[in-house]
Amino acid sequence: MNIVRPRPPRPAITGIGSTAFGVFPGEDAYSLGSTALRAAMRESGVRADDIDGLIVCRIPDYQRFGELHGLNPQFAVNLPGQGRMAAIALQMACQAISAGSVSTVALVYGNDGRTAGMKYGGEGDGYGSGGAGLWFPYGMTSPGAVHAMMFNRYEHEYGRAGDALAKVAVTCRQHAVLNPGAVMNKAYTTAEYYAAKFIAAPLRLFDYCLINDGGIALIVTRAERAGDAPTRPVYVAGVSTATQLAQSTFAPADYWYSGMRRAAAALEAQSGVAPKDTDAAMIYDNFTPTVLFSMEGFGMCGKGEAAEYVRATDLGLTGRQPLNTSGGHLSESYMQGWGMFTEAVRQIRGECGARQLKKADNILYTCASPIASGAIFSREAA
Amino acid sequence: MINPDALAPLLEGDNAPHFKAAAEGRLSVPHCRDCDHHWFPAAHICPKCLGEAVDWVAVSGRATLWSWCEFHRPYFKSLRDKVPYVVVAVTLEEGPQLYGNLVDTAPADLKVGMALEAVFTPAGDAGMVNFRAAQP
Repeated sequence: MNIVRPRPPRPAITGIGSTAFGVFPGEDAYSLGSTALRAAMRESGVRADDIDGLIVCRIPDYQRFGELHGLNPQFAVNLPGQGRMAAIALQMACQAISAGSVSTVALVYGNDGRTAGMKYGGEGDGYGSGGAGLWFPYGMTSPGAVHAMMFNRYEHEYGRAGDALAKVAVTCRQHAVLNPGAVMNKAYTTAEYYAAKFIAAPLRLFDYCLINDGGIALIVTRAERAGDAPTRPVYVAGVSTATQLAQSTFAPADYWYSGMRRAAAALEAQSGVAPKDTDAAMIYDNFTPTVLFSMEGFGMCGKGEAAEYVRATDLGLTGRQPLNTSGGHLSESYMQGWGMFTEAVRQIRGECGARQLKKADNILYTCASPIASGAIFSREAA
Repeated sequence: MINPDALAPLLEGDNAPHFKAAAEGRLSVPHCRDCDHHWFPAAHICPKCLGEAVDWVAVSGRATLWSWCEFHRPYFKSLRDKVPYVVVAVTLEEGPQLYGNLVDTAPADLKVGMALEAVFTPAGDAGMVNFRAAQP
């Protein structure tokens, strides 16, 4: 007698919601997250009673957030306001659904950092392992400075990157010009990129992402239920993470390559799709060098080859694998990965207007950080 | 708490022995008596063998340059007149990494992997550990 094991439930996104991005005095992480969640619930047709998992990120208290929305989910958790947590949230939701323990998880991100005066350099700098204050007397602060050091070393190891950073930045801005939701909508030239001031050399102004207020939410549910939703479901074909926490007060000498290789392999095993073969890449671009590191870590090119890959590749909307079609963190808004999730969903649904891709069957998300992570969003259930 | 208007190393907390030693011209880092591992910042156990036989020991001050960047934005008020300044990330001969300022060396002379040596700069009752090109 053959015993047929039932397939584990597959996760699908049936609703997304996002606020505008910008400066919104009077809003806070709760209200921004709430606006996004209610939009996602409306889209997906999910009611408060249907939500049996709640994951909030950068929102201080899951309990207060749950109370505000009358939620009694099976589990609730909050994740810190770090970009690397976006994929963790998605992974937790998908694993809970695949395990069969819950049916519908609400993921909510609320960020009032711009209005709150959040800065990633100076007194508020909490980057690094256990915070950065130890190094303030040396004037060492900001994740941007850490990335500047990584890129400096990278160029020493692999040779000058030429105009690779400029091309990444200019490309993202060109995409943002086509995105009415992007904070930045004025294109700039390569010459203007180089004319901008240094922040932490070798990085300049346009190598940095944009801090803004905003909220984003996703409803993730079992694919079997997704047919009940009024939207076209977008499947999470894979989501993976891999950490490098040992000695992480300092940047790793491999620019997180080994973590990314592990995450990429898991992603391909889950989805059956190699990251390099997806139709677009939403690459976490807190700073331009991470885009280069991520291209290597997720196998678009070999180790040390990203600058040449960027030079020789059309990263625009007509290319084989367009980069950050929304403008990314550099030019849409720094929503810490969450805006890349909604962009992937919108591309697959065909809702992206002037920046819509012709082919958007599988969209990649990647994040290079002490928690390397990736996801593949798919039009079809695997 | 760090005073952003007058940046100085903290003489309280887990890393105070490092900055106190620097005031006396020594570069001191945590060390494991069981497995001879050195590390920084401070931790109460050895991150390599998880042993508890931790003490602070003086190390050579010899280092190589991991990388550096040059700050043009003054993130702290007290640094407004100091930009641009260079922060180096170094790897000590004994293994730990540190950030420090570049002293007595032209930024143009920096090269990843070059030999550096620690120099100690007084900062109130504490000392800071900075680096310069190794002297022949």
